[in-house]
Amino acid sequence: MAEHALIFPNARGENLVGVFHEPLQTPRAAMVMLHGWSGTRCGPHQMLTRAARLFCEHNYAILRFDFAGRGDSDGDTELATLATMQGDARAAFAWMRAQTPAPLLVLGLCSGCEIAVASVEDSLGGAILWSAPVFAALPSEERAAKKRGANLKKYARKLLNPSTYAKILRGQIDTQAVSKAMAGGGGAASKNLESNQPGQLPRGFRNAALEKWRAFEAPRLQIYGGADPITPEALGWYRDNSGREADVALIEGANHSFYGLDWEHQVFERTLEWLGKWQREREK
Amino acid sequence: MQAFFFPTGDALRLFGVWRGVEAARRVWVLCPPFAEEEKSARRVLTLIAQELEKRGESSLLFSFRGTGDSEGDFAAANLTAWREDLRAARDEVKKRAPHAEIALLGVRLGATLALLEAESLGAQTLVLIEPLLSGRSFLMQQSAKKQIRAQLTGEAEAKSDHSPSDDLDGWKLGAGMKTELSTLDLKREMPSFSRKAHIFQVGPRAEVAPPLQHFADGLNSQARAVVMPPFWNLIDYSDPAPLLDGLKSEVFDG
Repeated sequence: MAEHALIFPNARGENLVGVFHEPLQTPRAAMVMLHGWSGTRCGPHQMLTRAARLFCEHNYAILRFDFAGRGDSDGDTELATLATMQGDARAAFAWMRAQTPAPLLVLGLCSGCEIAVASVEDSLGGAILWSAPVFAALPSEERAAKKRGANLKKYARKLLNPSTYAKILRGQIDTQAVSKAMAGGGGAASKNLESNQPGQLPRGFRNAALEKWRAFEAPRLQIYGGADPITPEALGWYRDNSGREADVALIEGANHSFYGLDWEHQVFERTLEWLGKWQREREK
Repeated sequence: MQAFFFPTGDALRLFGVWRGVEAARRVWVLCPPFAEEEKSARRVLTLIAQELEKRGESSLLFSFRGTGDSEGDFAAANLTAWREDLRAARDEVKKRAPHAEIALLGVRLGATLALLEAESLGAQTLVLIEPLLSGRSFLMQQSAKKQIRAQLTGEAEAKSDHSPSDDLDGWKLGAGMKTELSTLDLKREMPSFSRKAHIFQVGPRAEVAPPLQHFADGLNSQARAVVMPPFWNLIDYSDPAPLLDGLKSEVFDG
């Protein structure tokens, strides 16, 4: 195995920083990994780096990179949208295709899954989606109200616990983050308005991407944390908006970013099992 | 910009990004914070590197072994090895820019390690952003944060072959790291640095907190408060303009 640091340009001429994991033998498949909205190519708790190293040991060629405006890459953080990230992902696909003729897979984590959805091409061999949220969700009042209601109930229950008060008073609780969760804010929703303004999506982006995703017929795997609040809604959305049913795995008790060594291990094992199945089906 | 791996003394490869020309008068080694905090801080460090490049200065932003894209097992890493990594980063800078002055800028634990090594690395400039003064307090905060998040969200305790305290949100804390972090106490054992350090407190307070002020006094340096969210702890992007403005006026323009 070899790991190569690299820089490649996107269509806007911005330099993207990445790492290519090259297996010892001819790869069974190539894979481009797409990180979350405000993350980096390494993922939370280095999850994407570790996954790439493990999958490369199993003879998969992997490319991980920072989207423009993220991590080490060039580009303006504020101007990044699902559309600019879609362009970055396509540049990564092209880079990978120039390295190997092996079938190409895409793996997304959190918002990286939205980029995967937006970037699918007929020639992709499959998609792996870890904690995929609803695609390009709008900050609609209905959604925010629903989320606020659920969060308020949950946090009100917790706030009745005297030990929580003690922790808040000692400054051990990030009350800002809790307030944000209660308000249903955060994430990329405000960037998903279609306006043709810098930092927002071009008009027609969502429908065009969804049309391609619905027509995408390759196998896909979706993995979610059992304690991730987005899981039920997201699973329903993908069931209703996909051209093909996904293989779904739930990691019992896990949170959104699988912040635990055992959860991370389970995600890797489930993915490798699925990759084995994916390959057997291709060889039939 | 160049992205590459460079060697450590014990034959690991550390990931680094170089920005700027090799003939720069001053080259900055940018030291990231601990493990998961690096993810949130990475963009801010890149923006600092870009600002330096605009000013004709160069920088090497790297990851300590076992973190980011650097080689090595995090569970086997410890602070002694990370101090050696800083030495390897300095050696890489000297190889690329033999005549340049060395400057160190660190965030949180990266700041602490930069301070511990600054004198022996021959640093001419030292910037410490919210340095970690007590490793024990840091470990307690990490553990409390994990418990509180589990309590608030209802997530289960992650099963593990290791003690829960060794699983730091998906980072396997080795015995060496745990021991060295537990004994790290800059308030008790103040390292020496013969020049003035530039110390920045980042958070909601406009006044420098007494422990950091006391620490700055011990270093014969001044601390400055920058009012902005603690970017190394955030999930979402936060505008680093207040910190960049502080760095420009206090350090880069000087």
